[in-house]
Amino acid sequence: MKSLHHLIDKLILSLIGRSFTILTDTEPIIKKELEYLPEQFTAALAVEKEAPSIIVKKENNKFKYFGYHYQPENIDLRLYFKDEEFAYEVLGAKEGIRQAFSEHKIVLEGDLEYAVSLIYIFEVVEAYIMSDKFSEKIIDYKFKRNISRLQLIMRAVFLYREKGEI
Amino acid sequence: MYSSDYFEFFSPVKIISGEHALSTLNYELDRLHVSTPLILTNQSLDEMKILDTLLSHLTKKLINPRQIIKRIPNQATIEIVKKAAQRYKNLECDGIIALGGDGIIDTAKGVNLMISERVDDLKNFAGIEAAHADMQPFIVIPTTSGTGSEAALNAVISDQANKRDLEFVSSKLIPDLAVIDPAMTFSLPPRLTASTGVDALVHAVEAYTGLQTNPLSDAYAFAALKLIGKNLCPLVEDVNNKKSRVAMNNAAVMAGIAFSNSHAGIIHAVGDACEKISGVSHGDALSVLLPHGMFYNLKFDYCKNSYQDILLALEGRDKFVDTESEDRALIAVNAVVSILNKLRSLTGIPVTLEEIGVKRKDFDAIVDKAMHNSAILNSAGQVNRKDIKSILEAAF
Repeated sequence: MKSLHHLIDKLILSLIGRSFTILTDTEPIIKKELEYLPEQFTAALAVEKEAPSIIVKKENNKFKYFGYHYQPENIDLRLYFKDEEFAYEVLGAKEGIRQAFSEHKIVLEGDLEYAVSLIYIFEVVEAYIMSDKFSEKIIDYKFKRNISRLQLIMRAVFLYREKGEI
Repeated sequence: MYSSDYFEFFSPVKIISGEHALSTLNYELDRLHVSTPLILTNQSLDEMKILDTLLSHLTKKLINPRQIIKRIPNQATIEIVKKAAQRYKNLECDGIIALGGDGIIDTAKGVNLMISERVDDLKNFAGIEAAHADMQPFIVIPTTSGTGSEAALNAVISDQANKRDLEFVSSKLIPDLAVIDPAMTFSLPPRLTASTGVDALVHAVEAYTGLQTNPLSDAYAFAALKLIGKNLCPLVEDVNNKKSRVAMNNAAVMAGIAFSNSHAGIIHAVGDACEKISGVSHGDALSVLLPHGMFYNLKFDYCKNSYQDILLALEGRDKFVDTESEDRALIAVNAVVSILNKLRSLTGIPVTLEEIGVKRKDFDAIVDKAMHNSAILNSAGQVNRKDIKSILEAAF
């Protein structure tokens, strides 16, 4: 079971990272939060402390996706879960990231104001990817997808992953 | 909305409270193996002889004057933390004593982090649970009752070079010992007593209604509210009332433990934003925003349920029983408003944002700041910009 959770975590986290990039153009909440982050802001998200992190970076007011990295450098904000099972609760659509944050299940290294921005973005991205029922649970306001789930997943699969230095 | 039965609760601080609490200091320093403490305080506490009171209880320790830093500002900064940490190293100190309010306690937390993590730059430890080292013995002697910093796991340290406030949240920052002696807070005037009391009230109310409310922090918050309901107004009427002073000191530390574990919420987030954007006092902003934040929360069922308990704590059993259950939440808010009105008549605490100097033109910036305060994530519902704007308008 644990290895299945591990696989799901890895796939969903990668999908979320890629969706950060794709939804920048279409989702106003993400656009607004992106504006709050400084240029070149780089964030790493992982399922637990020792796990590889997906890297996203703000460049020219857009997110770039750098894929998974072990021990990445030049990171402004690192977000990871205290345990991979906690990550599974969020990435497996059992609990919203906001709830996980309030329950002290998340470790954040970096500026908390920027972390809040990242959590808002994460929440919206999850709402796009997950079922309508889950989206309703994690987002109180009337949520409307600007692109369909299928479109998002297809674009995410074919998204260019930035190579080289972060 | 989600509800969960998972929670974390951590409160390792030893609390010594009451008259003559300072008398245990020599014993406690020995217990913590501290022979050369670095003492952080400020000039006014020295002038008010509060520092002398502390030193008179450290007779068994040889305190070199260089071990006392009296110029700690009201807001902790990276620069002062670095200087104090350097002094700590130069004098080969083996523990830290913070004597004062929030700014001094936060500075001491920063020094402890810098020394224990053996770093020259604190920035890498900003965030939540980013510290991992074993910490130095750390003693706090609060001189204001309200902030709860003596039991809290957070510190805000200003990075003036980059014009940002760094927020540190870590269980490693919790002191080993809090000595709460009324002799150290007697000199607080009525206005400041009222303002710090409201601070404790907000901590207790928000700990009760956040997403991470849990049975343990609820117990602390409830006990704090009971003490506040009974003692805050009488203490402001007679600031030398020892019994009420001790009770309010205890309320502040319990509220601090509660909100450290359950987080603050919308009132704190908006209050902090007003402080940062408009430069108003933290206590004043909270006094003004408290009833409006509570009214906002009334739309959530679980907050309504929690507010019933607040009514019981503040007004007692008879009032609780005499009030229809569906009215209790609203009457709880009225009970808080009554306390604030009484404090206003006694000391002139403010009731509008305009009165304390917040400008309407600052609202957008305040909303933006509040939306990015981590406390907002813990508030009931999903707070959005409109919600914050409506609270600001109502409080203006």
